Amino acid sequence: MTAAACVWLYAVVPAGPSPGGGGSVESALAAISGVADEPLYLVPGPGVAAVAGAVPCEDFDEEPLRTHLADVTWLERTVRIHHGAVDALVRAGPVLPMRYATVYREESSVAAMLETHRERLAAALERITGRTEWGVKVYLAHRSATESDGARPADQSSPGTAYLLRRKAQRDDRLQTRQRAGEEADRIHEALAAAAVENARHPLQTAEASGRGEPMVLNGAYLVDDERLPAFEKAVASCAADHGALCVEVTGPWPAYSFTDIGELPEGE
Amino acid sequence: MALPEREPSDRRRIAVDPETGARDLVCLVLTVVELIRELMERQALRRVDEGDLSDEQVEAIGQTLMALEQRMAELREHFGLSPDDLNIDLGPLGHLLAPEG
Amino acid sequence: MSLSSTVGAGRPRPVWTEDVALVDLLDRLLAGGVVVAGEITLSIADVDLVRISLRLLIASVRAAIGPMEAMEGAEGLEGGRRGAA
Repeated sequence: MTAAACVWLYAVVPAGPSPGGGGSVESALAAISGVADEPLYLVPGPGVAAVAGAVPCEDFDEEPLRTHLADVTWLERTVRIHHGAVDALVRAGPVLPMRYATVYREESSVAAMLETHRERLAAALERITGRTEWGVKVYLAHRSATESDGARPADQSSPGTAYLLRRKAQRDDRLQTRQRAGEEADRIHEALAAAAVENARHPLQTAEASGRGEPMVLNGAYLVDDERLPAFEKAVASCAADHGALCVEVTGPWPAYSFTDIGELPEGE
Repeated sequence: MALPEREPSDRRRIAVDPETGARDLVCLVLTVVELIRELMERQALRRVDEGDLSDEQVEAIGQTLMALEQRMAELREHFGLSPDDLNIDLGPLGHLLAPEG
Repeated sequence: MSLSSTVGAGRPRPVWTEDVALVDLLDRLLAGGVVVAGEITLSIADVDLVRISLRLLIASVRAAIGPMEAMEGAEGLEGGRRGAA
């Protein structure tokens, strides 16, 4: 086989026997195929190993990759496969996910990267061991129902003024609802953060992205100790109960995508 | 409305298909009119808040806006368009008209 | 497999969803994960553009559960979606 191969990285895992029993990372890998339908394997390093797949440079080198990424069908497919692989590995032990589309031209560069960053990677793995990410999205429960023009009797003598005042009341109502929702979202985030080890806030999703008519007010991610999950769930239920005008949606369990910061890295390392 | 060709730089929900082109042109025009009406209304409310309009001015502006809203509703109905149809998606810029609620 | 639990107005309804929502994936995969200076990695600018174009697609996909016209220019989307892990 002479076709040039690049290396797509999925995740970093601890080297050596996995907590789930010897070889379970390997058996998990045997059951997964990658973004180019390739088999996955481990690139060993000191204390950590990278989960990798050999992908054709023809599609995955910088220029073709950039082109492919503009194709939303290709993007969606590979995003889902990448996530599927990372998710399947979680069952075998701690998994530090790589940023989607981290590609190397040589396997030796991968090994070099593991060597260079072994301490940071090990620390990041430690940080997420025994912990799981959960997502909590909060929406306004429904569009503002208060159309505050009902009570006002039709003012025939100055209908134009009545109209403007009505519109003003509606607008003020909308703004107030939004503001209140934002404040409630902040309180929810604080309550959930208190039940988690770490927290993060993602940008709010637009109505189209979320597929919901109601505006999103919180898009949170929480790293929760697996043993403390019941407390976290209770916090979520409490929040939902306390904020009747909001709709709380939980997603997860996620690999710890949002909690992998290994610190600023110098260029070219 | 049909989705245009996949040009990253041009993502308006306006058909390039000639069959629906005319209807979508009407849509575009009405959306612009609606946008102007909303902007005018916002401006009027701001002036009302500031309190620098006389009662007669408030009444006159209110009646004009009310009549405009009425007329817009009639035009929309005439062309079989819902309020949502008039909300052109500008991609990264969001929607042309602010969302309700 | 993911658990999506919708809790609101005192009516908790846990729902198992096979399909992880694409937007939720993008929030995490494009902006999360370890960043090392891979030889080929996306720059943040590229990531934003990808996000934006995908949001548009998602809008058209949802609208297209009904009208077929929104599927124009998205050939292979059906295959892409059902092929998801």
